[in-house]
Amino acid sequence: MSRGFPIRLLPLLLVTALGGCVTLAPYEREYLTTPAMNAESEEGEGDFQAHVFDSREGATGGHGSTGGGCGCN
Amino acid sequence: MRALAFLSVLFVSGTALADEASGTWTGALELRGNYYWETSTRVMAPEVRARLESPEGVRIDAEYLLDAITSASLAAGVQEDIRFTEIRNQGMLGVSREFDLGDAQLRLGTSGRLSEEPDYFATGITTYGALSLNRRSTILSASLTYIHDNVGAVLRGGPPRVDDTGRDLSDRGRQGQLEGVNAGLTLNQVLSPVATLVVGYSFLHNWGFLQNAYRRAAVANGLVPEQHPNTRSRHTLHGRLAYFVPETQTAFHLMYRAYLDDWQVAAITPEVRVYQMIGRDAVVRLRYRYYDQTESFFYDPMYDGTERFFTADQKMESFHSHLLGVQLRVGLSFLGRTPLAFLERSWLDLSFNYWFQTSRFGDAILSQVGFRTPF
Repeated sequence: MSRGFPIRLLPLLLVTALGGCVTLAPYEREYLTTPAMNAESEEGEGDFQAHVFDSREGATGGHGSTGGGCGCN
Repeated sequence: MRALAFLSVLFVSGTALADEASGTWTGALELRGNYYWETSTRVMAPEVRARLESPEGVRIDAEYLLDAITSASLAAGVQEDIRFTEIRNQGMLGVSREFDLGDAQLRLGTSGRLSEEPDYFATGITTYGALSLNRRSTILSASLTYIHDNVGAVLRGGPPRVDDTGRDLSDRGRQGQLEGVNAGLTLNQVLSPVATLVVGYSFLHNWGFLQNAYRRAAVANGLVPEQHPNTRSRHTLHGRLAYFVPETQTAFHLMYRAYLDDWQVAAITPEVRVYQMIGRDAVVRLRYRYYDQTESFFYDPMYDGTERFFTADQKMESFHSHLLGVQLRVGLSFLGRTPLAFLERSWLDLSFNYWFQTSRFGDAILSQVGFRTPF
């Protein structure tokens, strides 16, 4: 596994994000509000999964995880 | 306990916005059942989550989770080949308010979390802010969390440990304390009417008791208590690109996480999720998650006894894993013409994930079910 790769990925992601900025009116969000695009609706499910991953993997953080908080590690 | 956990397999949740026109409070309720299985551990964790929102933009969030952990792991204090069940209670309460700044909106909030189990007591407090720009097409978020945990130890199995007065000596009391600060930044950007991107960075610094109070590491002449460095700095980059194909009603989510810490553990976590809408009220989700990490600088399967640090933690080893999962979400709008019409805006979801791991934890199953409804 290359450790340098993630760092080089950051500028690419930022350029992609900033370069692609648009402003959408509410009526233009039809597709973004479908259950298939609404990641917020997965928060409840994701919190427990993040807790499991934190207790079984050396990494933490990202996608809602803050790490720690119980004796399961 | 099993009956309780089974009942928790029924759950409810949803999201709703406050109704500014009518001036009424709105909210959502979610009930969730979580199940985790691996060779030495079973977890059943029912939880309830609720959200209330006022017309003025005040939001109150509350969560409660009951963790019933059945384990035979040495890492949890078992002295012989027995199974035991431990209960963990976790609660969270948060409040936030959104301020209208004209062309932007700013939400400021704080939350507190408590987790209690016989040998561990964890506390955490978080403050956060989210600035919405460009008609909420751009959201910049920042959070800061302080963690303070008291680490104890309770011995299980073997003969009863009582003193002359009959006092139980199994509880070895406080072993140390763990503290931490977590800072995070996130950018959520709409790229087009069919695409969004989330990128973020988080930094976690821990200090204090960072080893497990029970584990023993193998050295040439026997076993010694685990001894980890007493500080750890952890960096995480993460991103999520979502794209919707209107012609087929399919969404693709590409996720990536890169992790590095000063114990020389480095990890990558790519994941892809495919969502297929079936009509207006059902979604099938397929996912594949890969995880790969390097070992920490002090990991060794056998120490000679002269080292400064010792570990028996599987998470300090090099390993990788594959997770495959499927989820079905169904909206209950078909109840609209029945006596259960009050549930017509609710959703049910059911998921099953199989986890192939090369670590000593072995393969695992993660399954969840939930019910969510707005009110």
